[in-house]
Amino acid sequence: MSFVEVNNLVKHFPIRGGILNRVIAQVQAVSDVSLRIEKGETLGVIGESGCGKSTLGKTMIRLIEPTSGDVRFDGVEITGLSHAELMPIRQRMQFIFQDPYSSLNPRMTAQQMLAEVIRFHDVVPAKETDKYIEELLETVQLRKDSKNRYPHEFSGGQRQRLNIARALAVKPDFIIADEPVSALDVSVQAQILNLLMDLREKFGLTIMFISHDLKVVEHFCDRMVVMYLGTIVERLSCDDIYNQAQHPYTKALLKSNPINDPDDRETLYILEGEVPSPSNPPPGCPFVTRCDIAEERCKSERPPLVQLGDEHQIACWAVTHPANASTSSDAL
Amino acid sequence: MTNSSSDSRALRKFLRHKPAVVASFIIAAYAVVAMLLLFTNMITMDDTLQRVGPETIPGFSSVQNPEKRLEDAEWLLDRIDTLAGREDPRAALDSFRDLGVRHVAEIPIEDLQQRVEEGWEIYDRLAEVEDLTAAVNGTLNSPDAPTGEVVLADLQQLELKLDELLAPMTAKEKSTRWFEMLFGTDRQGRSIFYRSVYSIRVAVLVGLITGLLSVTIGTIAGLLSGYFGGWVDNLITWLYSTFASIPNIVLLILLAFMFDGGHIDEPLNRWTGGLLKWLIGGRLDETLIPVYIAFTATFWIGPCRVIRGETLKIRELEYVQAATVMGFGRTRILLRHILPNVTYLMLINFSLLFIGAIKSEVILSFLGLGVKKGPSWGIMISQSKVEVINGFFWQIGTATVLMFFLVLAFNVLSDALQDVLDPKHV
Repeated sequence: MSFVEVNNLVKHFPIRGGILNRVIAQVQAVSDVSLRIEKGETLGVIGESGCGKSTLGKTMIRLIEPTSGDVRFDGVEITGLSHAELMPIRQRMQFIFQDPYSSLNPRMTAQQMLAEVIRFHDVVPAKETDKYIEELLETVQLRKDSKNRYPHEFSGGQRQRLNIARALAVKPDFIIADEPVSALDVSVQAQILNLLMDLREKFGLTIMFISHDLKVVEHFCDRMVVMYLGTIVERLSCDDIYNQAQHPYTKALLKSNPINDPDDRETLYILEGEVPSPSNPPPGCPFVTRCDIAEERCKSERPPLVQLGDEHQIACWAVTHPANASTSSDAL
Repeated sequence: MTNSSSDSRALRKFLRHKPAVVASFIIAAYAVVAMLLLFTNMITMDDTLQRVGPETIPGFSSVQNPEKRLEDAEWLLDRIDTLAGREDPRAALDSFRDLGVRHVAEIPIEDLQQRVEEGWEIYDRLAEVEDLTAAVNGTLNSPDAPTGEVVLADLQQLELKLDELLAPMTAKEKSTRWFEMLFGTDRQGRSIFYRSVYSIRVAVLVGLITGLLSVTIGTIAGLLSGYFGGWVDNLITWLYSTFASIPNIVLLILLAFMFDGGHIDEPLNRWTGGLLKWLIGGRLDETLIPVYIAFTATFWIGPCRVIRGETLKIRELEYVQAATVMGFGRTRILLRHILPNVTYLMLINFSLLFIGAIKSEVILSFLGLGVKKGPSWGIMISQSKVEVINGFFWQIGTATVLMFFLVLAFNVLSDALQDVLDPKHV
């Protein structure tokens, strides 16, 4: 049994309208996602804006209630737990938010914010709270005397360190990091990633790292899943993604990475077309509208995730059951 | 949050805002006067109702015209003459000062009557003059008319005679008299100074009580409706939309009739177990209770709307989500993470409602619906309608100027508060 398991998780948001305010459509933010995260590993979740990766993370931590499916954490199913039953789990699962500017209460100093969390969960005895706060600040490489400062007195990078400190304050095992560096400058991104890597090692954290930046995920994670329109289209190990990736969407993502050469701009590959509306996804493969190897079958049937290699799964008819190959094999 | 850097920074920013600092001093002065009026007997309701002069006496250092001086002298002479002719003249004369005028001199009745006679003689001479003002200016056309100097001398002599009739003033009486006459008197001879200053009490009471009640109710309703949403939100939104559709004045007329004649102080005091009496010592004007209720019923909508909107916004912010992830309960999130971020709206709304209530009270009193007992700026303005036509502007002037400074100061202050406390302006 894995440390964190997500089974067939579905989250639909109703769209209401009309005079009677009835549900007229559903935004299918996450449709039938299953995941396994082993203890101590770092899983990257990658995909473009609106593909449901943040919703997946927030549903896993019960910030959003799932429509169906379940989430198991260390063997306990947490989807049906009440507020009180969830409390010990809350302490073990934490979330790092994307926006360092809106994720800190502007009316609380670093000290007040951390103390509230520590006292609420009684992480350390009351007398040691101050000492523990200083330790935490040191851990995330903030100065001890910054504890009496308000969020607006910190820079973006410092705020994100404070966010990490808050998540770490309750001594969690599992952290969901929702694009923790995407709002930061590139130089600061590297600092925060290095910090996260150090902390992962120091505390033996299991991390689910949500990002849209392939390079960051490749650098930071052990395995990754690629999401498109609420579903997982490919899952693979981060060791050699350039050779491993088979799904046309993953390939397109790899090719669209900016190249560090001003003369080589021409080769930048840009995916044509728009993402279909998540309230009205295509009946077959979600990627069919933009895929350049799409076949007839892709339009009507949803491809299942098929095992390709040891740690490699892919949902694509064209790759797993190519139309030409199947006809030739039928002929044989 | 004591000694926090964000608050001290806000304070520094506020202190740099010079007009706002001046405004706070003005407001503080009004507040001090209001407190003195509420809790001491500096000026009592009786003072404002007492007659201190014959009738309209000009304030603002205006010079009286000779006709007016003669009229005033006639009024005094007539009073003393009548009283001296009573069966027990001494007792009658003692009651004279109940009219708010000075004591009558402690001299034998015969001497008094003698002086009154002399006074009437001079008065008769002056009354014969056809047009006193013209005579004083020397523009009277008839050849046998007295010259200006003669008329003026007569007038002064008459006033001196009246002074002899009245007891000399003590120092305290002199200063009291000076205050009484500072802004003149109204048509009933009541001191405008007393009436207008006493009106501060009503204004501050109405502003403070309706402001506090409205902001408290509005904040609670706004927080609940914004944070919980669903049927709570629907109910509160429906409630304030309904209340907003009732015109303030109609509601007030209704409430005024409801509470008319009923003694509200008593049952309220019993209901709160004597707390009300202890708190304000029965100084809550019961005639003002319909005003408080009617204003609060419509004024809470403003802060409620604003705070509901802000709560809706804050509820979705990541720091509230982070608090949820931490497992904090709803009450804790509401009180520790949302409320502190809307307090600036409470302050700004209070300062806006305070002046809103004062202005509405003046308008309603002008219409005869607000204050029923004692003076108010609205009542003073309403009474001065007739005076203004005759050129007596000091009653409406004093009431307006006092109200103007209070409202202006609060406007400046609430502007500055918005600048200083709104995080988006930082």
